[in-house]
Amino acid sequence: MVLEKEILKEFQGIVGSENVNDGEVITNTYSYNWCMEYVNYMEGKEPIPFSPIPKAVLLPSSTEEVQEVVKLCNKYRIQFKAQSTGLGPWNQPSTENSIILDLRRMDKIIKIDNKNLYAVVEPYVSGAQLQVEAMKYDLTVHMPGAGPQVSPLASATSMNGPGFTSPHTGHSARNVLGVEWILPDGEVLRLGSAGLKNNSDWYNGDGPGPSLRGIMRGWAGAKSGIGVFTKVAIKLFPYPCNTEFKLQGYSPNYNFDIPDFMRLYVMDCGSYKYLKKAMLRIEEEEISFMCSHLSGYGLTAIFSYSIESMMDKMAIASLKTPLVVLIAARTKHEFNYKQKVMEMLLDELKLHNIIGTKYTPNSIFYAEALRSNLGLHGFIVTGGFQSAKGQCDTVKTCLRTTKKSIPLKKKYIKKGVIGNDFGEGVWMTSYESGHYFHVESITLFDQTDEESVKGMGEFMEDNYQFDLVKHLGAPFFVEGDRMHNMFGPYMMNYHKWLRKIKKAFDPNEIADSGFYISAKSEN
Amino acid sequence: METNIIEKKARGFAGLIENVVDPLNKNPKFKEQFKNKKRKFLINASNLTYAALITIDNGKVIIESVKNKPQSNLKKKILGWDGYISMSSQIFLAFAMDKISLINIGIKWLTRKVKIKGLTKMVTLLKVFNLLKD
Amino acid sequence: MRVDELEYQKMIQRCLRCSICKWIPQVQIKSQKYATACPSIDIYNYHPYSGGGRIILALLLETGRIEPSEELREIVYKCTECGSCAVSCKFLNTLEPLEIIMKLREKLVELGCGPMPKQQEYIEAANKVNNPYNEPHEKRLAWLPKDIQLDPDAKVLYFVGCTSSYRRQEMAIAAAHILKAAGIPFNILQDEEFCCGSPILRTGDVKTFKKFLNKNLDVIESKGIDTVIFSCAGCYDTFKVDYPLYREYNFRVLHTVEFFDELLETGKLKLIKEIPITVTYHDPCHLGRNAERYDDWDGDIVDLMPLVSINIPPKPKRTGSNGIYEPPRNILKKIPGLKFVEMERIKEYAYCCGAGAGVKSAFPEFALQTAKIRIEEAEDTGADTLVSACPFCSTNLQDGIKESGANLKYYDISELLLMSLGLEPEKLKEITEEAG
Repeated sequence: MVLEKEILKEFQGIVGSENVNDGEVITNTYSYNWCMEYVNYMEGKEPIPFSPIPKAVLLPSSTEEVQEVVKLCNKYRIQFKAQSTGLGPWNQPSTENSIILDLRRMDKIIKIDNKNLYAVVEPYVSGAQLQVEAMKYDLTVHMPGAGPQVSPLASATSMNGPGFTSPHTGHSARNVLGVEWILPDGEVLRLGSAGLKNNSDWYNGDGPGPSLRGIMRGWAGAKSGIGVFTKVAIKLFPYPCNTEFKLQGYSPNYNFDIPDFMRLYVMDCGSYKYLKKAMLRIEEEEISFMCSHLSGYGLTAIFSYSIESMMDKMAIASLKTPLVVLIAARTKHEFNYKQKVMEMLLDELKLHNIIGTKYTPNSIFYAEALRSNLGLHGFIVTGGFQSAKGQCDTVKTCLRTTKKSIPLKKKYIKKGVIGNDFGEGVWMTSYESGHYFHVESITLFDQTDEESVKGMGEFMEDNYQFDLVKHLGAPFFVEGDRMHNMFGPYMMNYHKWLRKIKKAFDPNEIADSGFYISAKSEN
Repeated sequence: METNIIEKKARGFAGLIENVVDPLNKNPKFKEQFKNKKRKFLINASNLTYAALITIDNGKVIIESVKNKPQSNLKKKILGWDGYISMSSQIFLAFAMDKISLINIGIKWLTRKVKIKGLTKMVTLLKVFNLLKD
Repeated sequence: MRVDELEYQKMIQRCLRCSICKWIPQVQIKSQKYATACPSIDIYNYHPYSGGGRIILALLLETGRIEPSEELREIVYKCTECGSCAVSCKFLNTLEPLEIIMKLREKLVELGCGPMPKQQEYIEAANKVNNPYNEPHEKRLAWLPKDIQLDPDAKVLYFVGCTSSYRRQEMAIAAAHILKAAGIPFNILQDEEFCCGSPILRTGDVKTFKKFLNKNLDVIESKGIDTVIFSCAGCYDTFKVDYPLYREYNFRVLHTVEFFDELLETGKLKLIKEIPITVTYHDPCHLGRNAERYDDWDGDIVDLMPLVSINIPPKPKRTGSNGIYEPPRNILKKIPGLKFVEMERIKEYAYCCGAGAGVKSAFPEFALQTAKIRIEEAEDTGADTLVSACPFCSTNLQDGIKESGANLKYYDISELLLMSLGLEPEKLKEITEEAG
């Protein structure tokens, strides 16, 4: 679909002619994304990595420009899809009658308030960029499992938000303070203390000033379905150890000067039942920087840089129910305390740390742990993965989900359409001292193999049914009308309320609701 | 014993086995336990091209490759092995990672998914692999 | 070996769109300001201008979703092929963004949609007069100082290159004087030296490139040379990395920084004069991350399980780790009185100067904007002098210094070395003027 010349001119008038492009090459490039193959297949379309092609791509540079663009979209009834770094099918338009708002030019760190522990950022500040600036104040930021190269703003306002450092840095949903939100009609709404008429500031998302955090993002975010977020204040946390970050050598075989007060523990809990006990007990003590369960297979992946280098780690691949705990401290005193607690716990739980005996990781692992780069290791086996599940719940439910789903996963492994992780491939991490956990089932597939793509799509679909039938909680990707219509009736008909919210905020259906919910009824 | 069938370079699946067992050459327990032993084992990945001929010789382990077709290449009188096991690479990995038990291997042996010869001698190979998990 | 057609077809389907290619390796990021890796997307902002974006372009072209066009050509050629995207991507991935971009250019040339008009002009000039500057071939030797004696029987050949011969003669003069000071007999090819072919290869015109490759190798091999040294990173990279992919040869190739570092180590050069400046060093892409040979691989692909294949032994991966990083630093650290400070983006993740792969000719504003970004980074170190080891970087960075009004001097490393050997820079400039 081609953008009418007059409309193009109006967009150019807002952002400048070099910041709008409706050419075939650029618009087609933006139609490509990771996982679009199986998403398309699940929607009954050809399993190709392309979404509908937007009419144009715009690069606004300010809140005011975004507002004007959104108002113009309303005028001409063109949908918009906003994106930051653009990783994942949630960045894709669901119709050709759309434009993409690539927020790349909005890349400022507005402020770092080191006293009140928050930073205000624009959409295209990456997690790593924010972390290194925060480190100048001995602070750090939460980065999602997708990696340090993605946008903390996008994670905080519009996506899920689990992370490897969650025991220390929480969950993106819980870290949101003040927000600047361009509503689907183009008006600006500032949430929390940022919305105060007088002396507005960013320190609180829930007031004084309007608190709409639940409506804005709920559990999984609206993925641009409820507007555009142009600024967000997010919590900062004490950097867990010395901020000196020295590397020697060359990529990827860097040697990292491991901070003095940092120690890794990898233990085999032997069973899910014992894993539950161990995770709750460890998290209760509030000492960990990382506390994650991965399968033995997944464990070899986070310590490896290629699939070949996974093969010499059979010693850890054979662990039955591994638990990874990383402690870090800023002083010797703190470190001694944390180590003593861990020793006490290992003794109490009769667990044994294999690090330093059975296995010693390369030092770069610690750098990646601090920089939240471990999630990307999921790609080294088959080149593609996505997560089924995604439940955020009690440890009991998360582990029940894991255990019950193994036979389902094995069914697809047997078909040869997803990678063989023996059904156990999960990542589970803890939040708020074991108050809740999340679990996702890392599923390996090959995006260049049509059978694998179809198999992945069918597996995801089966999982959704399975989660409902077995009461395993709500997975990550309950998004789009079809999924909300499926899950809603089992979850107090939340989807009816979500539709009302969409209708109230976006009566013209201008914010692309492909991965959110549309205002039209389910019938 | 025809040695021109045996390739010194550990190729394919044999190369994988070499990666897996090579740490044993630095393992003092292995050197001690096998210092006076000489054994040969053949692990064949039935779905791949090469089998791994594992020679344990006085505290050292060496891997060589043998093309597994024609099947006659794998005969005892050709290679001189003490024990032989043939299974798919998937089963091998699952076993190496403790995802299937010995009992399971036994069942697969009964259903002919796994072939074993020189069963008592294969116990030695099991001991060798267990040392890798220490 | 380079990525073959089958691998290319597979790889272009595998981009994860993770945007890692836009940043330097995540664990190397030290500030928000200097976190990015790719000049192209830094300046043009749209995703197709990134390494990953160009992989998607390759897929779009192969699948017929787009046709060859001027718009496509412009995006594909607005890239200096610096390889920074590849270093970042290959931290964990097995994709080859730079190889894909190079192959995409080859395909565009085959389809008659490349190179860019200005690049075509310089290719034609090279065909006509053996250099892309369209300068008379006879004037290639004009830089040679009268007091430099060439030895026709020498086993060391100094391959001057087009840029040093015609544009940055101070580098050639400095190199020649240093060799003289070290007592190294050397020769040059004189009127038998032709363009190395690098600016042609990088546009995707492999056919014309091969002509120059063969011309140069025929001459060098006929002279029984042991060692060929280069002061141009582009020529060095092309001879060291690209030539062997098409034709083997039997001589050693070294950049002058490697050669001079050896001379300093063995005491053949003695640095006597203090140079009291604060210097930061720019790693040329063609001397650093791209100057890594392709290793042959004679292993097996093992289909371990459905969807899971591994390479036994692992395939060698060019990650920039074998680039020439320490010799220039060794030289600078040995110069008495000189203080050396590093920029944030260095070695295998250094930011490009902006000139390479035909960009300086086809998109001079892009080249200049990139240079200015790099110059700002140099200034932020507190250095008063920017140094590098490539005449192409030299031209573009000096243009950038002039354009931005930066308070920075620029020298090639050979010039500083020469100064520390006791030859004043003013004299060098006089010599340059005489030669010009």
